[in-house]
Amino acid sequence: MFKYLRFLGVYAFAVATVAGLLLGGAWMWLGFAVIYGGTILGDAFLGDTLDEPAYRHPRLLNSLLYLAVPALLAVGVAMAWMAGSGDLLGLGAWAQASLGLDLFARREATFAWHWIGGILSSAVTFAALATNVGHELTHRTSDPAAMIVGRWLLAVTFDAEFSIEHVYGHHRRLATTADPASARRGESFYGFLVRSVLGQTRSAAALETQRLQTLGHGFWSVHNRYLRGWLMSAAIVGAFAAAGGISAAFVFVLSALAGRSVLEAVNYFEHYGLIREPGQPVEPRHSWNSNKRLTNAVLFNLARHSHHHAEGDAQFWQLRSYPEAPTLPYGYLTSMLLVYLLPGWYRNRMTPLLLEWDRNHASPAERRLAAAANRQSGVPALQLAAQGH
Amino acid sequence: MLQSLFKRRAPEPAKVTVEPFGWEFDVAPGQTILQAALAQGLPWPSRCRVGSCTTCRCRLVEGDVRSLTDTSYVLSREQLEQRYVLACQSQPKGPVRVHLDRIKATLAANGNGQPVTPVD
Repeated sequence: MFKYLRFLGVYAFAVATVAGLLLGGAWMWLGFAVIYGGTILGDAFLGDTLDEPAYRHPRLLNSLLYLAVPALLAVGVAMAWMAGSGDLLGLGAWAQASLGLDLFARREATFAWHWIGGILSSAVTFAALATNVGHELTHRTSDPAAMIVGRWLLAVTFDAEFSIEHVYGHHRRLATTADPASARRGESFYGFLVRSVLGQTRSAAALETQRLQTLGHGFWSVHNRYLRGWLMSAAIVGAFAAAGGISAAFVFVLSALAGRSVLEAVNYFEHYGLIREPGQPVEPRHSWNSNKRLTNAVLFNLARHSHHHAEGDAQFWQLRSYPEAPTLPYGYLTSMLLVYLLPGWYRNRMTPLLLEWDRNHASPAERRLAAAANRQSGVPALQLAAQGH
Repeated sequence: MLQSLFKRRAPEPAKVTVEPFGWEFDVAPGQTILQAALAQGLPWPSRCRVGSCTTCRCRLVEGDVRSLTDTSYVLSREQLEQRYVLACQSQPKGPVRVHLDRIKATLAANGNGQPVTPVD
């Protein structure tokens, strides 16, 4: 049973974030502290698992995914209530009557700087529940219900277009210079963030335009999934404005943008510096893999990334561990924090791992491409290694 | 009562016939045409296996398939009109007959242009 229940771990993120938002004041940091503290310590002490259990109840696993929708609604209501005025859905009266909790006083005692914690907590919760579950669902391109729910989840962080770019762009161009979402050797995280966001939206628009042409529709058409995606995000912002006024919409937009940057931090370290010869099959060696027990439990096995890219239509519970694939030094949330706070240090940390990849994983053609990438990387240790080539 | 709601129709393998070679093989439920062909040791041309490169494309002559990805992102209008599908993304809905380009299959088989002998 535990092999199913462990995937509920991510809902602790939502519970902590909702509780922190509603308790207000310095409690707004509760979600952030629980999420990062819990996963960093958990990954450090619980280690790896190579288990590949068989599951007999895929429906149960699916329902664990779809639980993201009510969990995110709860985060949204808490956010809109605390950022707005009045008593949205009678939540304040209910909390007073049944919990003895005075939310109105909590709201009064919450100031702008407290909201930094509230926004950062919500951002990582959005990334884990909206973006990550949306990613899993929009890979199920032949399942209409999964696609609709998945695209709405992605729209929370202004990224419904991910359902186009990721499947038909990123998976296809992975680890080549043509892919905006694969980080190059020596590239800093913040530079990558800008290049990746702009490159992906451009690519999604181009892919959709091409598809519409193929089907004989114009760009300005109801069939345009790229435009519809942006309208979905606009509708979510509008819902926040309706529920809690302009301040609720503002807090949501900041949380969504910060949540989107979390996705880019993950994109950054999932393929940093890895190289594939264009036109050759995507292999497990083209992703940084992680078998950290806690990371994979709370992220629906996302970190088993080598198998995900080698076989894009495998469902999360089918992903295998690939212990021989190139492996990240840390779990996902630890890596995220390092990429944000110590981007230069993280690059240096990865340099010996890239050199090891060149020696032991790369094909001969990839080794030649890697030598060129090392020369251009601006990282002295990589440039030094390229000289001997 | 509830049992019948959750019980799926007993899935059966579907037969695939490949022109002009006369290959015939079964595709198990949940399997793609490409997976079944490669499991038979047939030299079906393929590369990315995620529905992007279109190397494995073939033309549907009879029957229908369920496509796992939206092929309008990768195939041209002409190809869609001629009922091209990607073997790596196609699960047959019942028996199907497809046409595979002979030269492409030959190259996949031996890389030196030797013709592929049809199997009976």
